Amino acid sequence: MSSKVNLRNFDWLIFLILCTILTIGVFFVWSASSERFLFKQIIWVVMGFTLFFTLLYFDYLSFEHYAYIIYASVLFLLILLLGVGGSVKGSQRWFSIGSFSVQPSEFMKITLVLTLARFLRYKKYGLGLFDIGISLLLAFIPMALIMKQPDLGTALILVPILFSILYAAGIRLSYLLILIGTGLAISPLFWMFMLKSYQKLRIIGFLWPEKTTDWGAGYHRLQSLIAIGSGGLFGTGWGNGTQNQMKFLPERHTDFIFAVIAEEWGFLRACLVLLLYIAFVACGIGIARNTRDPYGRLVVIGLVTMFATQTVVNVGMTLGVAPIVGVTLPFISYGGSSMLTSFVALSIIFNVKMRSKIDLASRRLYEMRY
Amino acid sequence: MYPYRFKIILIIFALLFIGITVRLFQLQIIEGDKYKGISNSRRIDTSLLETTRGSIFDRNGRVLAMDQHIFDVSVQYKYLLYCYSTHSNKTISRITDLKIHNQTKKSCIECHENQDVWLKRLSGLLEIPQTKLLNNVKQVVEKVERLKQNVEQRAGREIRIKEETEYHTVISDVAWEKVIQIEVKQDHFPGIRITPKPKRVYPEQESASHILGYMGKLNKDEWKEYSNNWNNFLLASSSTGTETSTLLYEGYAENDMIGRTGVEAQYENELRGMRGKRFEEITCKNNQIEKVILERPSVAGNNLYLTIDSQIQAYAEKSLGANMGTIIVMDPWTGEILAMANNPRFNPNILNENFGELIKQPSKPFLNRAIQGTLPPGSIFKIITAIATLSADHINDDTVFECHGYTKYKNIILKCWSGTGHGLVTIRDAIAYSCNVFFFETAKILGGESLYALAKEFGIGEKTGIDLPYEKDGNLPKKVTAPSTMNIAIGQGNLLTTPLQMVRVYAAIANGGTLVQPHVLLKITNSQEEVIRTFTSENKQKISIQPAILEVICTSLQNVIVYGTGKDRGLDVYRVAGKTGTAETRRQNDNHAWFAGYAPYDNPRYCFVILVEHTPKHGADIACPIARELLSYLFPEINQAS
Repeated sequence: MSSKVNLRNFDWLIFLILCTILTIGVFFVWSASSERFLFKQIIWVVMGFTLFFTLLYFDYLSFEHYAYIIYASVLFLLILLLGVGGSVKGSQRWFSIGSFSVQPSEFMKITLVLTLARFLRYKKYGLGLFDIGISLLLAFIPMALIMKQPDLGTALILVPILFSILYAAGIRLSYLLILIGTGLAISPLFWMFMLKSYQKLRIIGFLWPEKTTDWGAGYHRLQSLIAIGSGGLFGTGWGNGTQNQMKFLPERHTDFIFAVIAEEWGFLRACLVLLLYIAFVACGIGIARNTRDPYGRLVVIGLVTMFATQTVVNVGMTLGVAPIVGVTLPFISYGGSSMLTSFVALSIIFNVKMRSKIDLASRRLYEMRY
Repeated sequence: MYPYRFKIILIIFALLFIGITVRLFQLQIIEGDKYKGISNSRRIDTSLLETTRGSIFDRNGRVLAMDQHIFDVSVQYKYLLYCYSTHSNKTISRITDLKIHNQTKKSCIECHENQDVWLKRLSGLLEIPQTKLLNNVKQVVEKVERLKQNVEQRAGREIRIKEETEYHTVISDVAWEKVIQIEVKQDHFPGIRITPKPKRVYPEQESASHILGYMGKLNKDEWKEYSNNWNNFLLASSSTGTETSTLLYEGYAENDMIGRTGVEAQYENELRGMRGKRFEEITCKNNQIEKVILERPSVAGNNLYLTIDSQIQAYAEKSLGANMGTIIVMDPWTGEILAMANNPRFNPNILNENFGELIKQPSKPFLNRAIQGTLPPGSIFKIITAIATLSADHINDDTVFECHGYTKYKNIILKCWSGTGHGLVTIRDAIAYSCNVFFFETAKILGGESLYALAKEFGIGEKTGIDLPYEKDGNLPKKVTAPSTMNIAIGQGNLLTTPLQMVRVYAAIANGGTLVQPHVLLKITNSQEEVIRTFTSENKQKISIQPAILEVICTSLQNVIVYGTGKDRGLDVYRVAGKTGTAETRRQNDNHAWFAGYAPYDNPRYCFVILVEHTPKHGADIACPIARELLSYLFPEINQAS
């Protein structure tokens, strides 16, 4: 295979953006929590980089080759988890292996991208109903399992991933609109049968904050709004946010870290953070466009969608414009599973970019070899 | 592919980002002042509300354990501090260090006197000497000040800690009439608050204390574990119908009381209620509560109904008297435990006063002997040997062995309890007279393996699965030599069983060969007294005994009372079938006396085992009279007739 890693194709711009985001993240995890979390977070970042560079040396086409097997294994893990997984705060999302815990639903996001891209890579424009049906099935089986855990946030991230890959693979616009329409139409059923009562409460609390009778969600939301609002234009200064430092803001170092940034850094610098993310997304989409390999394009667009949706939902949730579901802010929120998943996804994006000058004849050779 | 589609995806994301930036602008720039105001002057704080733990009843609805409200008198810290500095010689440095202190010293003393009024009034009302009250105040103040010092030292600046703004308990467990007086005349008691607090009460005192168990404080390590279990429990029950917003309810707090042993521990999750939460708006200036925004009420725990009949229980305990040991009364058909008496016992009501003393006692008052005491069963085990030999067709009920008072195996002499011997005995006589030699001889023929297999089938050496924590499994030796098999055949040697295992064996004989699962839970009801679930037995095994063999065993057990070791003990009027046993320990005149059986033999209603540990007497001499006393309560109609 001629697609050896080509260092000249290393995307220094994204890498720079990434490093900036990581630095900001580490500082705010420090501000929002004790030093114990700071050191742990640094360890996660170091592990992330190691994983990132290691994965670069594996051709992403082997991900393509093994996509269905990976999908089946992660699906198996999800099923297993319902039976034996350890439980944190009442939900079964983790496997505990000694002091280390693994969250298969995080892997599912990437796995779904790899699988859908493999399935749809050579499909003709328009996509047949069969193709669409199988794609929906591929996405909805893991979604149902993840909802059961229950992890609403991660499950919902799978929906935009599905739609953007379908769209990029060439689904007819009319089909896409019908899909979205049907989705909206069956959402009441989803509400009735899939959601747990506390999840419903959170959504009610988000749509009609004044009507909610349960303050678990409302309290989070209000504290977050106070934190962000009191940041003003210039912020209270790093390490000086009252909402943050006095621990009124719940889950400060994980899901609500953007509220800490906005409180202590103010509007201008919070915008800078958002700008970094959109630049990151734009560069990612650029990579997808400039890649000749159809599999590579779909993979990149899926992963970029994952990053973008997570960012928008996470920030939106702290701003009170999205329901409070557990979604992390990529590369900033504290946490091992989220950090490592983000690095793996990024590594695959880089992988595609660095092998983007792949010539299609050698690709065919590669496929024949298997 | 379709380059314009990538552009459209980018545009969609860009629009979303612009959207959240606009929202950020709205919050931080347009409405910034509003939120800034809130964050600087007011906060929302949450506090947990207490809940009540479920009650425990016996099968007839008599209360065995319940939560009672006791009242604590708490005082706002400010007043405690004033009181402390006026009454103790030590003035707190941080008050005297204040610049304005000298200027306001005079007025301050006046104000201290005013602030101090509550102390005199409280001590008058509650009839507690002021010195005692002051002592409590001192403890609280010194603790808080120490804490404050530590916090400030670490931070390097002055910090107002939470404890300074809270109410602290100075007197616990205040009578209701006094509480009313304080509540009515609130103006007279500045800074005083009455807080109700649940307290676990056991109205029957010592009775059934091993079944009920006791409560203890949750330590830091257990806290996490319990919270996790609790969340899992809620999650599991929410999928079966009673949905609760699991993640929003706090399970446990440090220092919460939890069930440590007995039913209190076994059904901790059911008994435990859910704490409510109060959301209050607090002003930052003096941390006063501005208003209560919302209160989510707490949910009381579920009630337990036990299979125990508290009157039988009390009578069993009385029958046991001062003897160290245990009595179990069980329904032979369902496995419902009607009584489980142990001696010595403990009184859970006053446990925190004498816990340290009790735990050191050599008689082990916390040991639930019925399920945790493992002892050799002695002759009451012989029926298993008998069934094994009869089932293996090695002998029939006409087979005769001769007892000279001893038998030999190679060079070893094995003695019967009767020195002169029982002469020619059949299996019926052997059980009635409890002849050792007969069982030694059968053990020689039988061999260890089939005895082991049948004993295992009867559940010897395994936990019965009763719904009480810390059950022991005893010991059923597997690989044995011929002499030790002979020893086990008469219930001695390395064989160790719990009284509960033995009562189950006799229940199986009584009900025709079904091994029931003993249990103490009858049903669980919620706080509205609706039945949530009833006990369902998981394992009911049928033991393979031929009816003919069972008939031999049953009549032999009746013969024990009619002409055997249990005759003339007054048990015949109750139509008892049973077996005496005396397990020898290594020491002289130190036996474990057993009596196990069921009554009435033609239609068994009760099945029981009586064990007296470490007694010089034999089963027939000490356990049978206890059985008689117990039965006279269980069958009052027979009592009157005779």
